[in-house]
Amino acid sequence: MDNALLLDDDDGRVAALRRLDVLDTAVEEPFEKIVTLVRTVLAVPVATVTLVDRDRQWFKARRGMEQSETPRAVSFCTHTIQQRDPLIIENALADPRFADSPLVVGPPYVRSYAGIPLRTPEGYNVGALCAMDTRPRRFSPADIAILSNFANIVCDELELRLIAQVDHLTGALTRRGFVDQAHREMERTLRYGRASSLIMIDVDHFKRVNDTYGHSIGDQVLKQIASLAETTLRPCDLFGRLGGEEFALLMPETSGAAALVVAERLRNTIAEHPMTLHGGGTIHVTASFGVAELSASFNTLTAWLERADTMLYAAKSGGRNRTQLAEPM
Amino acid sequence: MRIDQLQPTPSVAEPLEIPAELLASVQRHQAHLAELIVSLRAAGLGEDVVDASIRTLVDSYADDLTVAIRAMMKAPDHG
Repeated sequence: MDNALLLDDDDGRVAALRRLDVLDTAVEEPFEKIVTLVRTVLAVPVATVTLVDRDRQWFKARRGMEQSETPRAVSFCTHTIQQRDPLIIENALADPRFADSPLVVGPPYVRSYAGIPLRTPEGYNVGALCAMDTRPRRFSPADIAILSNFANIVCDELELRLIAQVDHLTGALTRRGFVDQAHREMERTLRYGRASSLIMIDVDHFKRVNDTYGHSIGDQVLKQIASLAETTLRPCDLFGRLGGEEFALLMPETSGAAALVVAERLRNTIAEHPMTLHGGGTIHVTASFGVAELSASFNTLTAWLERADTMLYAAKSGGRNRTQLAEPM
Repeated sequence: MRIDQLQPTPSVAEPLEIPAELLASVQRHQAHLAELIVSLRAAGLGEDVVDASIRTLVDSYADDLTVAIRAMMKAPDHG
């Protein structure tokens, strides 16, 4: 996707932000150190690592800013993420976009602002590294160069977390990455009373594949199954490899009945897809699926996972290459 | 490449091998640090400020890298 389309794709941008799994997380030392350094080196009273969610800006790290988040509409950063270049405001009172902002007319009384977009490896601007002063100020090219370099370091830290959450065989989230993100998604879903569904997937007779063809072929099969699953995913879905041949798919804003349709489509795709082997030849495999819609009666993610897992094993004991949907609770 | 071979060298770092999946990202970080050093010097900041700033960043990145590598080492192998 080209730059202009990426800048306009707020759904994709928010999904990229969610994949980073950094919103509403605890204070972390690397980001604290960076805003402290920005404040010291640029001699500004306010410095933030700001992430722009759908309707709010949330500060991963902040110095000189009392609020932990503000509505997106009043933020400077919602403008910063609309461009590739730094956003520089020398006098906020003279800029009609910001003159009435609560951050300008109230604490911390921002008068000047420099923000560098924080860009993900995919090209989405998920937030900004910001330096703000309480007096009008002209940020020099040297200031902007320093701030840009600090912003690169912030992106490196975010990327490091992202890479560590990815299973490098399949490209799916690791179990730990999936569980961390699923926890947050579950909280969000329950808070807003929305639907959400979980699909557990297990490759049938995978041990037989490994024993017959070897682990290298087994790995190729897992990669291709993950690749087939990826084609069914929306940007907001979470897909993880929970263990050897077991995967999970969390679908926000999706009822159990709708998730069943997705699971059945993927099950058929896997069953009909010849798995191409390096060095020639193909084999066919099937998978079993368990589906459970989130219910308020699930107190924990573990309970939800167990419900979907129970359905998965019902599908296995029912003959495999099947999908079993949990009754609503 | 190991964590204790990063440049500048972290104050404390285990001699953990950096997995291939992380190497490109780590090398980008090394390049970004080098660019930051240049920009801090170009802004006229003293060497002591530059050194202290970079040391802070290197050490916290090395800590995070250690955590990331350990998480990757725990990731599932094939079935």
